[in-house]
Amino acid sequence: MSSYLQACHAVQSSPFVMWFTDSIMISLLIWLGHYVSSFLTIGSMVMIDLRILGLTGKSQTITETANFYSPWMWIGLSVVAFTGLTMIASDAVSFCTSGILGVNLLVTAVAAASGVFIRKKASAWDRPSGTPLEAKVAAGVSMLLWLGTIWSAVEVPAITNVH
Amino acid sequence: MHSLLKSFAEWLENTPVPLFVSDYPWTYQVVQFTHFTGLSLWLGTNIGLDLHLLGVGPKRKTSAAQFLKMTIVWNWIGLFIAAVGGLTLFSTAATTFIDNPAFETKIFALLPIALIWHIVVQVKTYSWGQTSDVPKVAKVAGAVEILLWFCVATAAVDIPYF
Repeated sequence: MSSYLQACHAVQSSPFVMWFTDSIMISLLIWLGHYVSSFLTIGSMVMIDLRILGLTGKSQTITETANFYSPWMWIGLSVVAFTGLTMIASDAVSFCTSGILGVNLLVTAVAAASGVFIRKKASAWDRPSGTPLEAKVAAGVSMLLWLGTIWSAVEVPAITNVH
Repeated sequence: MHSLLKSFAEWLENTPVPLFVSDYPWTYQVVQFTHFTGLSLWLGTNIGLDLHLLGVGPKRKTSAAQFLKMTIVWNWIGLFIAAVGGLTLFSTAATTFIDNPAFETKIFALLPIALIWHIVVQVKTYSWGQTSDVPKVAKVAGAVEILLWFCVATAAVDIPYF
């Protein structure tokens, strides 16, 4: 057995991980936190993207929309990361030997980076002449990336067979 | 009543859509993707409104009523997409779902209450949320709505455990 697999085994069978995987209540809380925070993160980011694309909230500037939703995206993403790590730890061998989890983590990281980029550029994109094309492209790509996180997330249990 | 539900579930499972979903290995994930995308849109806009009512978040120029006007279409589009996905997921194993206590609690108790509450909050927001000085009753209504949707989500997460 490779040292990588041994490490996964060690994580999975550590007393702390065994403690929360054996508790239905804690497992439920982890799942609940993961789902709700995922929806909060993606929903917040998609609302910013829709505003940039001019499909919602034109009475509010892009900066105002981003100011309102960005903190919730980061709060959601922090909970997603924490609960996601605990879920990985509970079945580390199955998850860490499957490529789909890596794809999911990569897409999520790129999507989060798109969130940082959009937040930084928001004030520059608030122009009286209208939203620049560059902003609309960035919002479109960001939206696709967040949809990609949902897609890769639903593929994780389907491919690893861990539910 | 239960036998009527059972016959409906058996009929639903044998309609073309769930049969199509069961026939291919990739279709179930497509339906899950649809359901989760709708839920993201629904939750993002819902929580946004509730937080406006609660006065949580950065100081803003937009009142809760203005925020609702901006997001109401996407809010209901989100619910529609989530409902289409959810109904399709249900139809693939309807006979199993209707005997699941967590599913029954979610669909027959929590979801209708949360939806009715949501509609009341949306209707009342036009009067409550005209200015940033939101009345106490609106803050309570916003907090209760967040709590209700947490209960719906809890019941949904419980489904596989029964």
